[in-house]
Amino acid sequence: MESLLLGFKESHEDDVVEDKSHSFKLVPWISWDEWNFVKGSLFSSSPDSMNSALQRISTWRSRGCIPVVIEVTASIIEIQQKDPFFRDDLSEDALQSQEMLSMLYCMAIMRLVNGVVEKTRKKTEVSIGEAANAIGIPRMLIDIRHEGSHRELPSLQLVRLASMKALDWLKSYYWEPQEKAIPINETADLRKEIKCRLRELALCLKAKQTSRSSSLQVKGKRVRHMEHLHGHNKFLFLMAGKTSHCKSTGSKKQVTKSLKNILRLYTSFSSEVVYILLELLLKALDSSDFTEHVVESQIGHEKKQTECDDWKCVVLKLSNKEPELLLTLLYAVLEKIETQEEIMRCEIGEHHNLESFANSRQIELLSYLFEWLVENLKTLYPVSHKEPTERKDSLTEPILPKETLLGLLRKCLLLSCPGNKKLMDSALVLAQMTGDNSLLYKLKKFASIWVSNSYIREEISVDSHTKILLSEQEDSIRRAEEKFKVIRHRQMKGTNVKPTDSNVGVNSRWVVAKSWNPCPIGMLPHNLGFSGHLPVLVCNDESREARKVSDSEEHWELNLSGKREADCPIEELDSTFVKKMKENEADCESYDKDDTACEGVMGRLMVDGVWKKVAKEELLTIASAVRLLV
Amino acid sequence: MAETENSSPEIFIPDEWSNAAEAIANNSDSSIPPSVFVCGPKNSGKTTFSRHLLNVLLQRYSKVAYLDTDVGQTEFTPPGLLSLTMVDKVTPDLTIPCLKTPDRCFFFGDISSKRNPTAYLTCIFSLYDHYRKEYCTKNKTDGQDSDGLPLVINTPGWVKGIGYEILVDMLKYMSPTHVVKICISSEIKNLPAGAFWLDEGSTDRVTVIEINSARQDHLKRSLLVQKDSRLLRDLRVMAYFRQCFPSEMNISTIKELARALAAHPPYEISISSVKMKHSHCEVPKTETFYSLNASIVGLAVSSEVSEQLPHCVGLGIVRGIDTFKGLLYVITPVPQQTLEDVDLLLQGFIQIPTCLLQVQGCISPYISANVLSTN
Repeated sequence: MESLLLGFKESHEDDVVEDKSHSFKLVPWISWDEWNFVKGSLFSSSPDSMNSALQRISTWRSRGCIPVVIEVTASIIEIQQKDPFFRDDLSEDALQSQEMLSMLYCMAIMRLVNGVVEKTRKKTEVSIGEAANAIGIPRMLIDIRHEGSHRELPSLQLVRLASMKALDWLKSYYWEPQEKAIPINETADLRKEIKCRLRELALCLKAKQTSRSSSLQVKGKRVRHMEHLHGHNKFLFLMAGKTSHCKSTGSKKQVTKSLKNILRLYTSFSSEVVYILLELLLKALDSSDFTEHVVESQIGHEKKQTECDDWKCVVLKLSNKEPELLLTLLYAVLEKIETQEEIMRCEIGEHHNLESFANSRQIELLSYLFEWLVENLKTLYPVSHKEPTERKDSLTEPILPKETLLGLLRKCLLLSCPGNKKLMDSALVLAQMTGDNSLLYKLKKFASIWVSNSYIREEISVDSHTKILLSEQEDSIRRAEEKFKVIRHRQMKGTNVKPTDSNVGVNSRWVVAKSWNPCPIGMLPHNLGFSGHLPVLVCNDESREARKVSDSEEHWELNLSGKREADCPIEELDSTFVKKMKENEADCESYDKDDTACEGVMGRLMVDGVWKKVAKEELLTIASAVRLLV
Repeated sequence: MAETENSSPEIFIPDEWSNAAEAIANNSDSSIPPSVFVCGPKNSGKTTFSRHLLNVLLQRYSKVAYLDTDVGQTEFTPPGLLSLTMVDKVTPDLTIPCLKTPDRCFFFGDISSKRNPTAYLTCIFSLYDHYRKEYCTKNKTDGQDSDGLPLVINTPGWVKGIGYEILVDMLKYMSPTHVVKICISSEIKNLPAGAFWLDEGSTDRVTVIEINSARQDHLKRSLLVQKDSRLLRDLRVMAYFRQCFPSEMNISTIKELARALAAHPPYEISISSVKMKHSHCEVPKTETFYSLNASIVGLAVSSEVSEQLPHCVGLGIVRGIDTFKGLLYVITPVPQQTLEDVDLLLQGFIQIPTCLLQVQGCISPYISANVLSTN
């Protein structure tokens, strides 16, 4: 402990230096959105929204790091809200005396002058007046401070006027400049910046590659390659637009710089970055005249560098630095496939038009991308055959938690529409990565059923429609079984949580979270990755009641329809169910102490299109029946 | 304060000091063990003297009680806590504070008593009562320490204005056997001479020992301390949360600690099973989570007797709140067994060290760039 403290001290001083250069500050708001909300409501004309802003500011006060300018702004506005001069809806007699009001105003103004001026006052300035001039505080406020502390209490008329001047000054001194200084307050700007930065990186990487290959102009093959690259550079240049500072003389330094820029963006806006990167990848894939055939034969003429390869290069570079990027990308791809399928399904039955063709093409592209990403994931996290204890020792080797893999696998399987060989293959790779042999075996078997299915389909193309239906049904039964497993598992947990999960006492209030992904303090972890997401901190009665419903063990709900509508993952089901269950709140009075059960699915079953309550035993019998079917 | 000596490892204990400590330890003619109240202005060396005195007393007694009332620069606990700690080992190195689990502890939740002197005194009186009840009087069941344990009371350096009044209240309540007053060369900053807290005609028997600060260059040092105290507090908080990890784990820099804390699986506790309260302000119920997220809290056990203060088992960081699942995520080094009783989270103004919030690639949302520097 002793040496530890000393060690801390040394490095702390380093950190302080760092602080200055980056000017990071501790703030009481969780996001600039929150700050914007407060600013907007504080200077609105509605007393209600003013009140909500004042309330939030008092919360900020309780966090202990509130800027003094915000505090005094809130004080002045709060006092004005008590002053009938500013409020028509207040009855005169219900209020403070004039004396009291002017004392309040006076104190707020004194705190403003002292609090703000003292901080900015330089040693060379002798008087507070001089210091006030330097930051442009209205002279009237300085005089009121002086009068109020040493002479007669200034009149209400005067301090009222001063309070308005003070607010104007605070707006011009803090609120407005701060609003302008907020880095990116519009998502459009953000998207633009991310896109720009990503292109910059692609360009830099490209340029680096070009210069490297030009230094190796020995083989004719290489020269051809380079020529091709030049053509591409031009294209990227047009795309990159204003990022002209990144000339084609791409040095290692520039690559590192633009890489850093993106990683910085990624840490704060991971989902945006991933989304845009995926968009760019798809676009590139699409424009590179992609067909199933081309991909297959691409291994043959490997040197055919396409724009899509440039983006792949970007992905590889980024994922080397930030391994979780691959995982988030994988999830994003799956989500996209899901939405595409959704759209397809809606269109089926109407007519096979160009749109549906585009959709299936999108899915094709996405599946291709998925396969590629999984391959990369495999190289990034090589399957280790060591014992888990051994693995722990070598901390340098990145370890992919099994839960993450399984989650990905589950989602992949839930989506794998019939005939999508790529997804199935990727699923097999994922299963292999988990190192669970029985799982791999089962999946292989499942895949072989599939292959035979598609084989038949090729032979008898007339029947393909029914085949699709068949395998779709098969699929949904399997899914149903999977869900049952999950439900039963949760149900078990819900009922016997105490003896199985806790190692301390019967009633464990404090339990260590079973799985935890690193994330910044103050945020909640994503399923994977280190970026985390902002928590929802609103605590209104509505959300509490909704929670009550989801808490209750007795009313678990289950969706057994094999239809696609119900095929969203369990987690999503929960949130939609909370909404659906609102009308049933009244009869859900049992409040569950154990919140692990709140993830559970509530005990309802869609039977003939109607939600029906079912008993546990009933569910179990249905479950076994489904298993028999499979 | 002694902590500033960290830069110079050798601490100079003047003869005057060691004589005073010896005199207190060997004052065996009275039947009750000595209770020593150490006071003096900021940066006069109260903590160093207290540490030295502890070591001297430990040569005679197997255990010494230590009542820490300096919430800003705590000795054995992280800041913001008021605690009574049993010390049974000599600390050879006086320069370095070390963490100990206190015998009894309250969460005051601020680094100075000025925000709520009444609550501050209530906690201290309760700790003192606990000492009187458990350790001061002869204990027949425990033959070992039948004489009762000596008590060392360390106090904050706030000796003027309200701070002075608080000191007087403490002295009157505890009536210690010895009061050690450390004086610095600047007369105006010192406490009044003699038994300043006693009313005229009081018959309390007390030995007042006045000693001089060991340091010669006050002005230069006091400037340094002002800057250091926040850093020291941050270090104390970090050393406390370092205990979340086994000591053999290789964490030697702040960055490593911050990274490890961000990755540390927290305790999860359902929102409905704990109460949340701010020690110093009224937070609207709907705003609780905005106030609580990413803040340091005292983990307290609310007592069944309503008048009794909830005692505190340690600090935690509310590292995340999931309102949908109804869970709080708390990081704390307090063992799970002790945590089971905790049903109250007390928020205060113990600021989370900013370096714990800025892990590279994992920066907390409460750390923001582009903040206008207005204060």
